[in-house]
Formats: sequence, C-alpha cells, structure tokens
Amino acid sequence: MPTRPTVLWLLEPASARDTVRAIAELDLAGADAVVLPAESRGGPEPLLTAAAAARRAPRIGLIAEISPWSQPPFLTARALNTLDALTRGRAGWFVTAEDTGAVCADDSGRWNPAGTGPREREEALADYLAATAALWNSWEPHAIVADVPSGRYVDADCVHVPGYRGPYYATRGPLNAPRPPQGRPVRVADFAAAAEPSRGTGCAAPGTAASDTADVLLVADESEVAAAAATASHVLLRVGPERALDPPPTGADGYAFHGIGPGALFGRVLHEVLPAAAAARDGLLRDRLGLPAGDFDYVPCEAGTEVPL
Amino acid sequence: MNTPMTLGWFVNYMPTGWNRPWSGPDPRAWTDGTFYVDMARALERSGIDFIMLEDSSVVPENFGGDMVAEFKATVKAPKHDPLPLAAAISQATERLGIVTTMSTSLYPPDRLARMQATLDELSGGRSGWNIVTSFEDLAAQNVGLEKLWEHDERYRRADEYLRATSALWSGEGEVSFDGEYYRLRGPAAPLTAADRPVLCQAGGSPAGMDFAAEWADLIVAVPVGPAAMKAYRDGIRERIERAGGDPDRCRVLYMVTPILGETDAEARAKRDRMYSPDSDNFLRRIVQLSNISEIDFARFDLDGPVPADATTNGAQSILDTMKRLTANSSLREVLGSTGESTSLELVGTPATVADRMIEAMDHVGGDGFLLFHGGGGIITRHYLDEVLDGLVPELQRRGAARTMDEPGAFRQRTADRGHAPPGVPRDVGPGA
Repeated sequence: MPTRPTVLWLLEPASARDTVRAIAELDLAGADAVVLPAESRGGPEPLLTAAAAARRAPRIGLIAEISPWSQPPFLTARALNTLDALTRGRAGWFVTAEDTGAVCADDSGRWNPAGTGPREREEALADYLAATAALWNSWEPHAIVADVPSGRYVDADCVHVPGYRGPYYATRGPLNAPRPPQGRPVRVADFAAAAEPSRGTGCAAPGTAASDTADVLLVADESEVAAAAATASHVLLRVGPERALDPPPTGADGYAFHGIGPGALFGRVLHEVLPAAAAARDGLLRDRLGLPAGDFDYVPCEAGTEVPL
Repeated sequence: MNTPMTLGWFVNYMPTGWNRPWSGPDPRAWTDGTFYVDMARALERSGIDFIMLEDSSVVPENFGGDMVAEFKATVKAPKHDPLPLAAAISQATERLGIVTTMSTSLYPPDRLARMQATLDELSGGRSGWNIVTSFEDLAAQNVGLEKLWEHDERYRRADEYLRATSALWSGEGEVSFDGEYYRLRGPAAPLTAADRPVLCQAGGSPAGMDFAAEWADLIVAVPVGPAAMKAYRDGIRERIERAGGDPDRCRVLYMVTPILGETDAEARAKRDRMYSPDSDNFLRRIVQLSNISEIDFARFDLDGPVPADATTNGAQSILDTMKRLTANSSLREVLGSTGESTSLELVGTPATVADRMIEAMDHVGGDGFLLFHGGGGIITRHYLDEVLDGLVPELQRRGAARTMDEPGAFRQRTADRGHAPPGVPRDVGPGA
C-alpha cells in the first residue's frame, strides 16, 4: 500500500458543465482519479466529457464508464486510446455491462445483446474485452520512427494485424492510431466474487469477466478486500455519503467515494478529508496506482492466438 | 460581394508536417492534440466560422498490398479519434463551430446521437456532424462486417439512419424506432443547446446530392473551376426547391488549398516545388489514388503508361481515366505534378488569392470555402499563419470575410435560421 491511500471518486450524473467543474475541483484537491458515469445513468457521454475536462484538470485520472453494448470494440478501443493520448496517460475504462433494456440493432447479422440472457452477455463481455486488448496490442511502443532520409513516418513492421475473431465479436485491426502513453487505459470494475477466480478469455465464471480482468477493483465491504486482491493489482474500498467524512480504516489500497452529489457534503469531503488522504501526483495513472507496467507492455502475438489480458 | 463568405477549415487529427520545412521541433507531438486545440483558437481569433475534423477508421493496404506506403505517405493513417479532440476544442473556444465526421456505416445510430448530443452540450450549440458513409472494406472488417454496402444502398441506409437519430434528438422519454435497417428503443438524446447538430455532407454523385439536398445545412464539394462550381450549387438548390424547401437554408462550400507567397512568382515557385514528380508528393498522390479506387497501382510501371489491357475489381472509371491520361506519359509525371483536390487554383500573394476567391463567389453566387491542407504530414503552424495572418485579413479588408468581433454563433453564421438556439450563451447569440 502506498504511503497515502488512493482516492478515486465516482461522480454522480450531472450536466456536462457541472461534471467538468467537479472534476477540476477534485483535481485541485489532489484526488487520483474520477469515474464519469455512463450516459445511461442520465448525464452526458462520459468519454467526451472526460476529454473536455482534460486541460482544466491536468493531473487527475479520467475513467469513463463505457458499456460494451454501446458500440463495436474497435470504436471503444480507439476512443480510449485517443483519450489516453489527449490526457498524456491518464485514461481509464470503468467496465460495466448492465442490461439497461435499451435496444439498438441493425440488419447486419452481427451479434446483438437485445433479448439475450445474462450468461450469454457475460461470455460476450469477455469476448469484447479480449477484442479491445488485441487492438491495444496492435502497435509496438516505438512504431513511430519519423525517419526523414527514408521517408518513413511509421515502421510498418511494428504494426500488426490482430485479425481477432471471437465467438461474438470480430475485428481485423490494427488500430489506426499509435500506442498511447500508458500502452492501454487502466481497467476498473466492481469486484464480483467467483468460485475460482481466473483470468483470460473463455473461462470467465458468470458475472466476473469485468472483475477478473480489471487492474483496479472496487469492493463494497472490507471482507472482500483479500479476495479482490487475488485478481487485481489495486483494490479500493467503496465509501458512501454516510462514512465519507470519516472513512473506516482499511486493508485496501484506498477509497472509492461514491453517491456524493453537488452540495455541502461534496465540499466538506474535498476540504476536510482529501487534504489528509490525497496528494497531488503527476504522471501516468497506472504509475500513480502502482500498477505493474508489465501488464501494459507490448506483447508479441500473431493473428488468431489467445489474447493476453 | 455583399455577404461575407462562410469559411471553414477541414483538418485531420494526424501527424503534422514532419519531413518538410517549418515542421517544428517534435514529429510525435500531434498525438496529444495540443497543435489542433491551438489551431482551433487561432481559427476563432481570425473569425473562421468552423473547424471540421475528418475521420476514417483504417490503415489502408491498397498500394502494394501492405501498410508500408501508407505509413510513408500518411494519407489516412496514423490518425486519432476526432471526437475526444472536438470535446477538448469545445472548452478552448467560445464561438467557433466544431464539426465532427462520423460514419453511418461504422457507428450505431444511438451511440452517434448521444455523442453528438454531448458535443452540442459541451459547446453550447456549436457542434455539427459531417455525415459520411465510409467506403473501405477494411474499415468494415474492423467493426465486424465483411464488407460495406454498395454506394447507393449506403445512402438509402444513411437516410433511415438520419431519421433514427432525429427521432432520438427530438424525442422525449422513451423513443422507439422501427425501420427497414435499424431498430432502436431507449431514452431520447435531446439536444440542450440546439434543435439538431449542423449537418454537413459531401455528396458528389446523384444519390449523394439527393441526400445532401434533403438533410444538409452545409455541403462540401470539389467541382473544379467557377463554371462547375456554379453548376453544382445550382443543382443542389434546384433539388431543394423541387422538394419544396428553401434553398437558402443550405450553404455550399468549395474545398481549396491556397498557396501563398510574398510575390506571385514566389507562390508559383512554391507550388512547383510542392507538386513535382520528384517530391514526396508523387507517393502521396498514388497512395491516395489507390485508396479511393481500391486499385493497387504498385502493380504498374510507375514510369510508364498504365497498360491498355489492365483490369481491376476496383473503380473502373478511375482506371480508364488513368489509362487515358498516361497514354503518352507516365503515372509519375501525371500524378506528381498535381496537388490536393481544389476547386480553384489559388496561388499568389494574399491579395491575388483574395481577389480570385471573391471573383469566383461573385460568379457562383455563394456560399464560401472550406480550407484544406492535408491529410497527414502536411500542415504546419507556418502554413496556418500564412492563411490566417495573410489571406484572411485581405478578405476581411474587402468585406468578404467576417472578423472575430462580428456577432453570430455558428448556426446563425452558417444557416441563418433567424432564431437563437435555446441555451446558447447570450454573448455568442444573434444581436450580441
């Protein structure tokens, strides 16, 4: 555990303007990261709002909640890749895959979650995560050579076609943008207990695909910290409004404040709690959270092989 | 001319100039978006109406069957996602219009509607959508499709797509849409600042022009020369009138790439250097041509004519044209000496070029220009300065372009709808 606890803040849905302002205030208060809620919770689209906040909030990690059911994995991988570039390495993805009841289907024959059951959605989520990981691994870190004599801007040998084909999703790749500062965004999820926690695709126990592959897990109760720490590098204890002014001691790496909208409590936590807990820290989000760089490194792979998550 | 022209700038979130004079210190710096956010601020200061961010989702392999040539020419790749950049620009500007390109073939309609609604909110009603349907099968394979639909079918689908997104933008509560191609059910995505994004489209074909006439507030085209420009605009206006619409609700903008110098001769010499068969321009042009035609021109002898018996599964018309043009010369000679697609050749001092633009507008009847100097690896701050500090002030002195101090939000400037979009800050609304 770092000397100070990590402070992550799950924002309540609000207008784009209020969300950007809240992020700027949390940045000044020294919070490590914010999670912007999905638009299905009643606010603006979180990835764009995070990008809008990036310059007013120059240090804080910006984690967007994006549902895999909203668009093909290529578009999610690309958008998060760009958010990481725009924020110089502060992007994260809060992976949730709730069934909101919304339907957006077309006649292309691609798999669609509408009308499917929880087990099928869970398998599809694992597949989606593998597809995005394959795309984030399609560019080697030093692919841009900008070599004037040979006229090469990118070394084509350092860009690979993943040709990902899973049971639910297919994406040829590569991404059309270079590898971003963190390699890939930090993945955050709520902890879901499994009988036998396991990583990787194809072996996800029901309800655990996001949890199994997260770098950072949020637990609702202190009793879950040890189990969560078995799969994730970084574990944060959720703290709601009732304990926000006096967070309980924890064996976790820090706290995930949630359920605190604009108002007096928001200000009191910022001014009374965060100064003792948080410190303004610069650099990549993954480094601030103490995540092993190895997980973000480029992994050589060939089309059609299993994707390391 | 009586009304100031509408001016936009079309730009790619791609590498800036890196292997040419005035490239700046860091060939990788473009990735964090700072260059383009600074550029947007500069456009706003100069009274430019809007920035349009291009998009595509592919690393082409058309020339030579791999990515090698593309990564030298950087016509389409590498490229970052323009949407988060647009969001960043919205916070750095106050009145510049921000138009993002999104493909109806790649994005699900409800995702697109919600992204546009958020850009509308972030920008206070200054957002626009450049509607494209994509044409690259490799892009289709990135999103799990085998290939894209045929050209006219893509436009039929796009028409239904627009009806679906419009239903989400104008709806309240739960919205249902059941079409031939798309089926939606979910919460509305109402726009907070405007009634819908400013819709832009570049339709050259009959199907494209019909689509543009039905939906677009701004149309971008590259007919070459004042006569063709006028014919194109008249064709669009006629289509709108035939459908019972007001042709003045739509602005037609022509793509141009001005090349400026302190003397006309200097500008011409600059043009000759930029567009010469022995410069890297030739590689760009032939990669670009391979991309749009899906013909691998690497199969042919670049220093000879295209063989008369050559065949293709790509664009037959482009192959035939190249056979004709190269009959007594070579691919290198023909392609190397042309530049970006441009409606007018604008080469000279700022005064010469301003006069030529005004002359063309007087002949055509309107409505403005879309400046372009790309795709990747081309644009520099130096070029921006030449246009924004050289050409634009010349246009302003002649009353042909607006200045930053003139009132009017993007929507009034481009569409003159005559009403303030609800929620637009007062200081950028009409009459401010």
